[in-house]
Amino acid sequence: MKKMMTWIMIMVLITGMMLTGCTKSADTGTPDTAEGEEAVKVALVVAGGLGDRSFYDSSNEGIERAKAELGIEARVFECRNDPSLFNDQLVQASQYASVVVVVGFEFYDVVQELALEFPEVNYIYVDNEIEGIDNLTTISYKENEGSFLAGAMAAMLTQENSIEGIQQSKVIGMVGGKDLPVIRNFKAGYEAGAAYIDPDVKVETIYAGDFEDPAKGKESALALYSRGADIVFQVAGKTGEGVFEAASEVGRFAIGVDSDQRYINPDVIVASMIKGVGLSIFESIERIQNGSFEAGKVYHYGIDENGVSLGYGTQDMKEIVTEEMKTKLEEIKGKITSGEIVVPEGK
Amino acid sequence: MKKFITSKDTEYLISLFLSITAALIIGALIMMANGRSPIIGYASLIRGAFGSKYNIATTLAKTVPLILTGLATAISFRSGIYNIGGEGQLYLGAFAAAYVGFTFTTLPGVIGILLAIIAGAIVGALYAFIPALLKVYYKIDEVITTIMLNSVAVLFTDYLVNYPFAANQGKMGGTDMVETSYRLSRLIRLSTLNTSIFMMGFIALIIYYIMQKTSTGYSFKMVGQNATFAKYGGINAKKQMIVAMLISGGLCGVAGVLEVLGTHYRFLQNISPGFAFDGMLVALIVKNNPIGVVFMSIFFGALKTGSIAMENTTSIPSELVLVIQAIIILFIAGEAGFKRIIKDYLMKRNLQQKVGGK
Repeated sequence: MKKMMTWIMIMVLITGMMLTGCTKSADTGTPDTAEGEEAVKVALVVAGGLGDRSFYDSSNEGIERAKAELGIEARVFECRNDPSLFNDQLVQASQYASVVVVVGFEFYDVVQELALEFPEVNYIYVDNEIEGIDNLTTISYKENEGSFLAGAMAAMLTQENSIEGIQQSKVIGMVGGKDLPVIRNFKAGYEAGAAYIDPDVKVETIYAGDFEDPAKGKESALALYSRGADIVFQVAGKTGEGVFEAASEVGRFAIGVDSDQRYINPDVIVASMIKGVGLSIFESIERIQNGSFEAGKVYHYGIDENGVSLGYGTQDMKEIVTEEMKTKLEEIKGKITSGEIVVPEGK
Repeated sequence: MKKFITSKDTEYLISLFLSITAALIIGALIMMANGRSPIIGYASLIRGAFGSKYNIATTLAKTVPLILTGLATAISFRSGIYNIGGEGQLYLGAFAAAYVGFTFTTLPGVIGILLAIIAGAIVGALYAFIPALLKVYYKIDEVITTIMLNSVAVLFTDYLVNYPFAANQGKMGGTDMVETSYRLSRLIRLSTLNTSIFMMGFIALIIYYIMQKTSTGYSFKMVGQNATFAKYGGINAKKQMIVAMLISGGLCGVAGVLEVLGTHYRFLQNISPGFAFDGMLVALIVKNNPIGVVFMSIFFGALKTGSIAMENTTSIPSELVLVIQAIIILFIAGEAGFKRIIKDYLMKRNLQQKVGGK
């Protein structure tokens, strides 16, 4: 009995020592951040998590590029889709950096509140529109324009019955992450683009209900393929990985989103609708550095600003979208920028 | 010495303490295996949780929903009816509060807040009432029905928030904001800690009183331990189960209300990252003891806040804390088994000592 008690005491002592001894050693570890005062500190706060090979990773690419080309110092703060962390992570980021890049429409309230608390910090808020706060700049994308191209491309492909895997039925599909304003904006453009090519093409949409769950994406995509869809456009971040899996399982096609995702599986992913999150973030940081940045404004990124586009992967990949289609899509692009085609918005 | 080991509470506390210590040590081993210093890791965790006024406030803010859902679980589990549907009840309660907050905008603040809390509690309780009735009168397993009803509630509020009650400005998947006078005031700058912690404390006291000091609480316990025996003792087991479920649902509803009124000021699509499930873990670890729920919630809140700070400063992923939590639960679940092993060992040694006669 006594031995057991001594054992417990030893354990207590060890943990006690571990917990007290550390405070000192950690203190000596911190000052190295004070070095290199020249570098601008940038924080990236994302609502979800990195590793989606889509939206959030695209934003991180912008930061990485700025690190390499503009010599900034950066740190990433992930919230893992937990609303109770939005405030905490943004506070941490604001205390760390002088430029805080906030990615995710979910931050709408929190970022407005904290921008007033930290007037010396510049906030770049991606994926929403807020005006009237001096140190808060928002970047909004015309997803509908990019999806219009994706829809037009899908509608052309579904009629190419010569390609293996394309069926007679004129059905195309879309898997949305959640039924949300941003996703509905994608959907509106996608449907309009398909209808522009051929009003008979039917567009089926399923919302997976999650941005982080490939299993749900796969299930939704399989349902769409069983309804006769030849091509499924994934607008669901990480969930979309399941869409690609489903496509290769049933031998049909998919369209990627946010980043150029063709490399993931070039046999089934015909193209991607790229949302230039990384580009716009990089440009904003660049503008802040050279002083041409207009704070408190809303920047709109559409086809014209290279904010949305189609990506066909690299040259060595199998060509599924033909040159002919690409020319047609370029033509549509021109018509959108000239205003000849007005793409409807989804709210 | 003998008394020490027979006292049940002390024995439990020791095994809890050992479980936590062992889990922390395993966590340290994992950090070491990844080439990181556990000392620096745990230091930044503790500093992140309690290092400054702001950090303490953040930790406390995290405990509010945990304590409420933990108590909700404790009260239902103790009565032998397993409410796994806390998440759904929380979502509906939160939505009810938001609805009150943006519809009845002319009431004075105190009345508006009270109305929102009552509405949330009623909605949560009613939503728990359905599986309770099914369980008591039709013997349909409440574990399954409550889990299923979670998805129903989450998806239903998803719909409400996107179509009939979508916010007028901004893209975010939420309702309009609640009236300014209904918002609970923040206590510490930058932190989301707000006056809901006092309300939570008051509610927790009431629940503690009901569970430990009243005959209702006693009959809950009787029903939970042996429903047939309780019936012979003159307790209406069915009624007790339903009442426990209503209280449990109401508490989850209130947890949602306080999130809306105190933290977000509106209903958001993903308002809860699984508070009800975390609360359930808390209640399971402390074996449905209301005081234990409070302390364990603070511990969980500290782990959560600390883990984020740890990730930010040392780049040790915050998921490590989930591992630690899981190990604690594993040890507590295996407590009975471990105890037997230790007791057997001690007994053998005792015997040897006596027989060996040294």
